[in-house]
Formats: sequence, C-alpha cells, structure tokens
Amino acid sequence: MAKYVVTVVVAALALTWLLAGAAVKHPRADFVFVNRGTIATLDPAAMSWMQDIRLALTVWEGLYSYHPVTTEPIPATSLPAQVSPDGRTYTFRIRPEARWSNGDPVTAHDFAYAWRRAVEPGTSADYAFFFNLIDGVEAYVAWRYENVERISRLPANQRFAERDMHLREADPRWQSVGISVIDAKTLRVTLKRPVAYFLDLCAFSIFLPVHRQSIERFKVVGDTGLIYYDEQWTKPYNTHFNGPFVMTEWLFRRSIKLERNPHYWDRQAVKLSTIQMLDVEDANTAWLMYSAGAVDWLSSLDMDYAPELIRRSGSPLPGALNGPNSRRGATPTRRDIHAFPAFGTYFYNFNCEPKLPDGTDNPWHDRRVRQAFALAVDKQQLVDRVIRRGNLPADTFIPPRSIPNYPAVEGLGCDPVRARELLAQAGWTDMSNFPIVEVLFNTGFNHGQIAEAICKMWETNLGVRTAIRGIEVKLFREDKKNARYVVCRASWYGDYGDPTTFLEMFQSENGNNDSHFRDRTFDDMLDEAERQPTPDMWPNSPWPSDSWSTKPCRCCHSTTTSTSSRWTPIASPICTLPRG
Amino acid sequence: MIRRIGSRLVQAPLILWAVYTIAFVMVVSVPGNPFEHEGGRNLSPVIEMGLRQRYGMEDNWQFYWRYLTGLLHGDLGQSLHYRDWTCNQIVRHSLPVSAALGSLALLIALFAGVGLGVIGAVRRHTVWDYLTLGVAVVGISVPTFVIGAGLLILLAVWVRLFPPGGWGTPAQLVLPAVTLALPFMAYIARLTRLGMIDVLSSDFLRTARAKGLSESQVVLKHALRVAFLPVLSFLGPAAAAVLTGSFVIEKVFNVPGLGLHFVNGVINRDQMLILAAVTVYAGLIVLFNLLVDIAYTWLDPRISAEAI
Repeated sequence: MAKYVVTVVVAALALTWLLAGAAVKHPRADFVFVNRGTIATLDPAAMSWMQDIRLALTVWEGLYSYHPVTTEPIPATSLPAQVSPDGRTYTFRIRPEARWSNGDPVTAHDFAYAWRRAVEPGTSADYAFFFNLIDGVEAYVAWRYENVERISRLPANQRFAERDMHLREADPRWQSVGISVIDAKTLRVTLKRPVAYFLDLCAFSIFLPVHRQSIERFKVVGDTGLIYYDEQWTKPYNTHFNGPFVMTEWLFRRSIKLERNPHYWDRQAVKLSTIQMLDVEDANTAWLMYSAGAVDWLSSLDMDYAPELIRRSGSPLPGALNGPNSRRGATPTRRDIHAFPAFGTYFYNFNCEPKLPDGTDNPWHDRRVRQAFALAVDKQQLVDRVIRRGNLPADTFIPPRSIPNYPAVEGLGCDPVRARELLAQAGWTDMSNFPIVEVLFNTGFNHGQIAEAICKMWETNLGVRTAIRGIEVKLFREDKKNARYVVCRASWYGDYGDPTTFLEMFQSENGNNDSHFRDRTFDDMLDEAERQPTPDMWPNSPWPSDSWSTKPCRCCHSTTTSTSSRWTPIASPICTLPRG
Repeated sequence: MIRRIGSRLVQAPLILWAVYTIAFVMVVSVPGNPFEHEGGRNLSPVIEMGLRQRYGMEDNWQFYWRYLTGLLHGDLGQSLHYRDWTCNQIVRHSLPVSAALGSLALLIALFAGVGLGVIGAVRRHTVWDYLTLGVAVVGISVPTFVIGAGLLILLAVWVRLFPPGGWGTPAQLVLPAVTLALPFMAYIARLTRLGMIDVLSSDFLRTARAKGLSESQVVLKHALRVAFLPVLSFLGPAAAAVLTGSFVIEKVFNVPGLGLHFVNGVINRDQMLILAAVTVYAGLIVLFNLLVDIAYTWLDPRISAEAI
C-alpha cells in the first residue's frame, strides 16, 4: 500500500510540475507594473481601452507623442511639422535616424499604410472617425462601406468578380485622399478645415505606424471586399516596433515583457532596459502585490478602500480633499499614493425625448426641469462624503482649465431654492403628480451609492419620489443607448485637447447622444465653432451656461489614482495618460 | 465491455453536439452586444457590420454552422473580447494552469483530510478531535476569497514567505493550492472520521489487535482501507470540479486559469469564448466518464459492464 501511495504522490507532483512549467526562474525586470485590465488588442488601429493604448504608446511611436508631464503633443518620429498658413496642410519630415526594431528605416509609407488600414471597414476601428478630418477620407470610407454592403447582398457566385472590380477602383480613389507620401521620409496631410488639435491626434494610438512588410503577410481579403488582418500579427514574434521599447514576450493574461529598443532614435533617453507588465484581474490582489514589493507601480487604485489610501496620501489635488470642506487626517503617511485630475466627467443623463419609455409625458423634455434637478444636487457633498477619491465637483461638463485657450464657464452649482422656482415656472408646483424618478445605473464600483445619495438630495430638495435600478453593464449599455431610461448614470473622457471632444456628444445626430437631446441652435453653434482654429475664437465664447450646458446633471470630474513608482527616473513613455 | 465502450464512443459526439446547440441558443438569446464596450463610445452601426462580417456572425444560422464546422476541424474560434487570441490559444494557455493547480490541491486535500480524519477518530472526544473538527468547520464555512486574502496578507505581505499571487514558479503554486484544497480537505476529513469510527469497533480489528499488531498498523493498514471507501466515491466529482479551475481562487491569487473565462466570457458576452469553454468542459466530462467506466470494470470485476 505504502508503495502505491508513494508512486501516486510522485507521479502527481511530477505532473503538476510539468503542467506548471515551473522550472525556469526569470530575473525580475527593472520595472514591474500592473496595467489595469487585460489587454483587449494590441492592434493600434483597433484599440480603444486605456490599458491597450498605454502599452501601444510604449512600443510604437507616432509622428508626435505626449509630453510625459503636460501631455502636450511633442515631435517624436517626425521633426516639428510645417503647417501651411491656412492651417490646413501639415508636412511631416520623418527623422532620418528613426528605425524599426529590425533596423529598417521608418518611412512615410509606413504611416500612410497604417492610416489607410485604420479606416478600412475590415479593421472596424472605434476611433476611425478621427481621420474624417483629413480631406477626402470620409467619402472614401463611406464608398467602401457602401460597396462592401452591396457585394454582401449579392449571390456568392457573383461576389468575386464584383469584389475584384471594386478593389481595383479603390487604389486610385485613395490617391485623391489628403494623405500623400512626397518621398520616403516626407508625409503631407491636407485637412478638410484647420484643426487646432491635429498634432494632438497625431500622438494618439490610431495614428501610430505599423511595420508594413511584416503585417502584409497577415492580410486577408474577404469575399465581400472586406480587408482585414489575422490578429496574430500583433504577437511579438510576428512584428517589429519603432518605439522606445520592443515587446519580447506576451503570455496570455499573465505578463508582457518589454526590452529597450536598440534601434530607437532617442535611445539615450531610455533609462530602463527591461519592463514587465503584469495582468492582474483583482484590484485587491494588485495592491497586495504592490505592498509586498513584487510590483513597482499600479496604474490605478480601484479597491473599495482606495478613499482611505487617498485620504492618507495628502496628494496635492486642487479638489475636494484639499478644499475648505476637507476633513483630512493630520499628516500624510502614504506619500506614494497620488490622485490627480483626469480629463473626464461623471454625470447623469436625463431622457430628453417628449415621451418617457412607459409612454407618459416626459417632464425632463422641458429644459427648466432638467436645470432644476441639476441645481438640486450638492456636488460638494457628493465628492466629500460619497465618492471620497479627491474628485472635483462638476458644475460644467468640461473639466475646468483642462483645455488651453478655452475659457472657464460658470456652470450650475447647488441652489435648491432656484431649483424649486424653475420647477414652478415649468408648471410643477405640486410635486405629488411628478413621475417617479428612476435612476438607472450599472452595478459595480460606487455607482449605487452615488445614485442613492443623489436620489436622497432630490427627495429632500425637490420633494419628488425616487427609485434606483442597478443592472448588469451590457444590459445597461443597451438601455442607455436606446434611451430606455428616465435618468441614467454616464461618464465621458475626452480624447483630444479641444472642447468638441466633450460637446459633440450632444449634437442631434451624434452616435453617443444617449439622452436624445436635440437642439438646432446647439448643433449650429458647434458646427460654427468647429470651423474656428482655436477655442477662444468660438462664437459667443464662453457660451452662456443655460443655452447648452444643462443637458446632463454633472456630478464630478473624474480622478485617476495611482501609486508612485519606486523608480525616480521614469522612462518617458510611462505616463498614466489621464486623458486617454 | 467492448460493446459498452463502443456505444459510449458513439454517444459522445451526439452529446457534444447537443451541448453545443443548447449553449449556442442560450448564448445568442442572452441580451447584450458582444461588440459593445463597457464604457466609452457607443458602437456605430457600420463598425458593427464590419465586425459581424469579419467573424462570420451576420445572422445566427451562419454563425451556428460556421462555428460547428470550425469545431469539427478542432477550431474553437476567435475570442471577441481578447481580439488577438484564438480560443484554441486561450484554452492551451489556461487549461494546464487549472489542471496543475487542481491536481496539487486535490493531493493536499486528500492527504491532509485523511490524516485529520484519522486523528479525529482515534483520539475521539479529546482536544485533537475538537481541533480537527474546528479546522473542518472553518474549511467548509469560510469562503475561499476570505481565506485566500487572509493567507496573502499573512504569508505574502506581513511575513514574506510566498510571492503574492501570479503564476510560473513553484512558490506561487503553494498558497492558491492550499486555499483551493481547504474545503475539500475539510469534507474528506469528516468523511474519513465517520467511516473510521464505524470501523474501529468492528470485529476484524479486534482480531488484528489480538494477533499482536501495533495500534498504528491496525489503524493505517486495516481500518483505513475500509474507512477510505466513501472518500473514494467523493473524489470523482471533486476532481472534475477542481481541475477545470476556480473563478474565486484565480481572481484572488491572479492565476491565469480556465475558471475565469467561464465567468468573464459571459460578462463580456464573448460568444465564441463561451462556446469554446462549454465545449471543452463538456468534452472533458465525456472523456472522464468514459475513463471512469473503464476503470470501474477493470478495478472490480464484480461490477459487470452491463450493469453500469
């Protein structure tokens, strides 16, 4: 019997050993960090998650990149761009010393190729619309989509001939688009109109170059004319990089290893030779790993006890924690915790349709009612007592002073008296007939607590009856998108340094206009504003707050929290990118 | 017996097909769009069209047949959430991890559980008995995420004996395996103790003692053999549960196993990954059942193959 037991144990342990692949022990990387959230894709054209973008900007480099402290666009692979006097033509001269990690020179063709790939219907990129600013791209993309759809409706035996004819026509059409390769090192971009933030966009992930020769091998042409790429091309052994680091190993949901790129043009500035990015599903585990010293930096702190850590941090945040209402502990004990403003806002959408989902008249169709509800929320209380992560209370939709040249707008503060006056003006003197205010949110984080606090404020300040309903995030997204709600929580992060990145979501036809707000004047004002080179030249700037800023009820501006790195010389690509 | 196994082999693809079909119907009827992100921009209709065409998911019939054809060729499809990975790659990365962790946990549970059970039974109504009872109660009633986090704080953060989660080194295997083993160990300990108490008063043990065997020989050689039988029948389901991964353990200890995909696949509406995970799991169960059938007839000739 004992012999059997020993045999079984030894066999089982050996099997375990084998399966765990445990024998090899790697040396610790110079810098180990936890990138919150699993990488969804490393295709720079298709990505839209913060963790993906953070990694992409470490291994690839665009014409411009973000300044590590100010996030201003600075020349990177390109020398400073030459802008034509009318602000429509940008000429980029690519650095002669810019090389891919295999030694190939980075050329204008790499960018032109990557950009065309990014707008192709087969890539299905969330951010492809950025390229619509470039002359002719919107028409080209629409023409491509139209034809792919047309061919997909044809019977299978006619598809191939039609497809080949369509694709033969595609190349000459693309030539007319405002992206032209002058020579191997010169790229000229012609915009539809002057765009003040175009260089800012050039640093964004979708504008990154790809190594043409290596990705071409993965190209697939579908039978409807859809061009896509086998996603395996993003694996480290299948592609090359032009950023400060190259990816050398990618273990699914475990870790990504980066090594210094020996061919990077500014390699003297790169201090680290190896970086390891760990994939940690649970925020609490990530914190324990940081506490135990296994990790040098956490990109964000999402645990329930994060407010307590932030309270101890004494972060120099211009927000609630350091304000007059702050009840912060005496001396900061966690100097390694940082909270700083992010380029985003947490807010509530009111359904703006004339009828509510249940078919009854919608009181929030009236602007005064929306204003009243916004005025009845004490945002300072909300950030101090409920959220407690050092957020700034939000009276405006755009975080104040976050966009250069855009003047601060006076928003809607907290004024219950005026709120009741506005309701009375709208005909609501007796609130007992007012429909039940149901707040819809996705469960998780602190959305439920925030909803409860806001409902309580509405009950006290306005005398309405409220209800809260938390649902799973995917269902929430569907209800929100289709305006199947009365009031719902929302948040928005800007993508580039211009007010339109926030405001356009309230244009009538915008795909992100979840409140179904429709106002011709607002649409026209924004169209007019978009034609101006910088935000301070907008008509009626700053805009009168009650003409447009009352659509959502704003709660607070977002904050990013992270730990400091144990390393003082942080390599330039590691920037938390609060405006991703 | 050959006939029995033959009919099982014929049944297996039918069972798998039925499981796939039922899973498919459930996957496509659950509301929520796999291509819609959790936050940020809404999915635009043209982009959704491109993606659906790209993955062959324009309509459910097309999706059903294309995926089924893929399955027959051993292709589990492309993950819709982890876009750079095929489901084959995901299973290949995750299943060995879960299996390694599970087999080690099962081993710990078995030896510690039987040991505690024997001590509890032999030293009945002493401090030792109550101590093993205490361990068993804690193991069964305290949820693993509490024990896991507790062990991490104690042994990885305060006393830095073990690394705080992760995967790849033997040291990283210890804490998750112990945590995963604990409830199973507790159950095995109770089963062993009960079986042992029954056996200890039986006649054949008196004979064993009378012929001059030492107490340890009596207990370990004769009594345990009988008391172990209920544990053996518990090991079957326990092994299946443990080897395919545990969502909680994998989350707390940051173990890249298969368990997480069952839950995250559904949360992300990653339809391909759900189908892949379900098919793989069903395939393993069919396989294990077949092996158990064969093992039973081989181990105990009295159980005829026809009677199973």
